Order: sequence, then structure tokens, then C-alpha cells
Amino acid sequence: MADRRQRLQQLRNRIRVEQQTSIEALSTYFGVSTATIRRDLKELEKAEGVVQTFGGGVIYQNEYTGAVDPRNSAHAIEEKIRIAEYCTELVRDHDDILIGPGTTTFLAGKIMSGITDRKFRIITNSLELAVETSVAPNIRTVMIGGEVWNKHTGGLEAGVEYFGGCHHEHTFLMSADGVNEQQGATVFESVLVPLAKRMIEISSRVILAIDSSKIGRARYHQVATIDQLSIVVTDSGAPREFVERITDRGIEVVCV
Amino acid sequence: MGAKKRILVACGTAIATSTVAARKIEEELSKRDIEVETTQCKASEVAAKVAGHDLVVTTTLISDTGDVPVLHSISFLTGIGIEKDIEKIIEYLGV
Repeated sequence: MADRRQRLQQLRNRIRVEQQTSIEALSTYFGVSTATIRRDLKELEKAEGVVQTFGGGVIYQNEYTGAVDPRNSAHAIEEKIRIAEYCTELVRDHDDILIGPGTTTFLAGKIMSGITDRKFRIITNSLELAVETSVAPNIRTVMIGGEVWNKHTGGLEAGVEYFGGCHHEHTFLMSADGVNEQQGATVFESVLVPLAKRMIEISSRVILAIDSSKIGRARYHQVATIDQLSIVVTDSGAPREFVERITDRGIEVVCV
Repeated sequence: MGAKKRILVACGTAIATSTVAARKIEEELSKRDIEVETTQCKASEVAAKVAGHDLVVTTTLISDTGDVPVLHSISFLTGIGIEKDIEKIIEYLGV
């Protein structure tokens, strides 16, 4: 009989490599019964991100695969939720809402799935969000496809099909890593930029959801100029000077 | 089995948040064969609506709820720590 600890180690590695497998496949691979595999998985479930799904599926889920990254989720999370909540109030009946990448926008999208008094569409590249919004009968969920990128909320190279023949009256709910008057909304990751810019092009309303710790900062890549924004939703920690100057440029600023 | 336990789910401004949280709670508990009844309200309405509930789950800070226990949780929004919070809920409800 093989050493159980050793098998657990091998099993863990196997699931990590495969990401998604089944009890049957693992049983064949290790040459042990499915009952043994089940028992081993129970053990792994306690300490590891191994999840058994219905029908004998096994998924490896680490803490970084979710859209909300626990490494920085503690940062301004209360503010982000308040901002996200406010954003859901900006949803109009029959809106077509593009959800950009980011924690705040993801939260807003998720909370939107609880809206019951309006019918609208959510267009997202986040598989995780699509699963959440698809349960609501009043929301049509459209995925724009592309390559799945583990670290952020879903695909980045958006399928051109969506953008091909669509109208230009979307509402784009975006986030950013920094915003200031000169550089506008900026982000760390250059891969995020083309998709966000494309979304701005087809939107008549651009909402920037950003917590106040990011105001005054400029990151490496510009996503939107200040004048491309319609509404900025931030928290009460926003510097008054910033709020006044942005408001003077005709942009609505909401501090929640 | 006793009467269905009742959970009051409170959130900040948008009622949408508590809809999402209540849905998650019901979903997770029903996976464990626990049926509950959830009521939603805004944080400001908790004091008026808390009577008759076994637990309050809130995504924001709320004021006095009397004898009814309170679980402050954002896991149903962030997706992180849902398991732990469900365990706490089960413990509070004593089911």
C-alpha cells in the first residue's frame, strides 16, 4: 500500500496541474478506488483549494482565482462596496452596461444582479460575473469572449463580434488605478487598455468608479481622459479641490 | 424539525445588495438542506424590522438589534470567506 501522505502530495500536484479533473480520472491515474480518492479529497479540501463538484468533478481553486483578490480586498473594501452600490442606482431601464475590469466594477455588477425593478443588459468579459448576473430574469447577460486571464476578471482580448455592429449608446462602468486632471484615468496593466478604450468608443455615458485613495495618482497607461468621463463615483475621502475642479469641467462627481 | 428560521438581511443604500446577499445565503443553506426565510431591508430600517427574526446579516454597520445576533459580512459580495460565514450563520441559528 502506497504511503498515504505521499499520495496526497501527488494528488494535490496532479489537481494543480490539471486545474479541473474528475474522481474517475484520478482513480485511474493513481490505481486506487474512487472511494479512496474521495477520502483523500476530503482531506485535501480541509487545507487546500480543492473543490469537489457535483458529478465527481474536481477543481483546483486557489485564493487568487476569484475576481476579488484577497491580497488587496481589504483595501478600501467598505468604500468600494458603497461606490458599487451607488453605481447600481445609475442603471436605467433598457440600459446596455459594459462592465470593465476591476474589483469595484465587479462588485457593482454583482450587486446589479439584485436589481429587480429594471430590465437591462450586462456586457462583461468576466465569467465569474456572468454566472452571477445570469440568474436574474430581468438581466440579459452578454459575454464578449476572449482569452481567460486568471489574475483579473476574465478575458481581455475581447471578441470583435460584439463590437462589430453594435450601437454607441452604451453605459461603460469602468475603474482605474489612478485618476488626476492631467492624465485622466490610468492603469498599471497595458493589457487592459485596448478593451477599455474600445468600450469608451461605443459608450455615451462613461462612469468611473474609483475609491478616493487613487485620486491624484497617475499610473503608466491612460485609459480615458478626464473629458471622456461623464460621472465619477468616489467616496467621501475625495479631496475637495479635485471634486471642484472636475465638476467645473462639466463632470458629475458623486461622493458616497 | 422546528419552525423555519428567519434571517433579516440588511444593506446600505441600494436594496439590490441585500437581494444578492439573501440569495447567496438561501442558496448556500439549501445546499446543506437548511430552509430559511429571508427578509431584506436597509440598514436604517433594521431596528423597526428586527422583531421576529433569529439573525441579522448585514453588509454595513447597523445600530442596536436588541437580543437578535448580528453577523457583519461582506463575503456574499466579495465571494471570499462564504464558507466561514455560512458556518457562523448555522451556529447562530442552532440548526
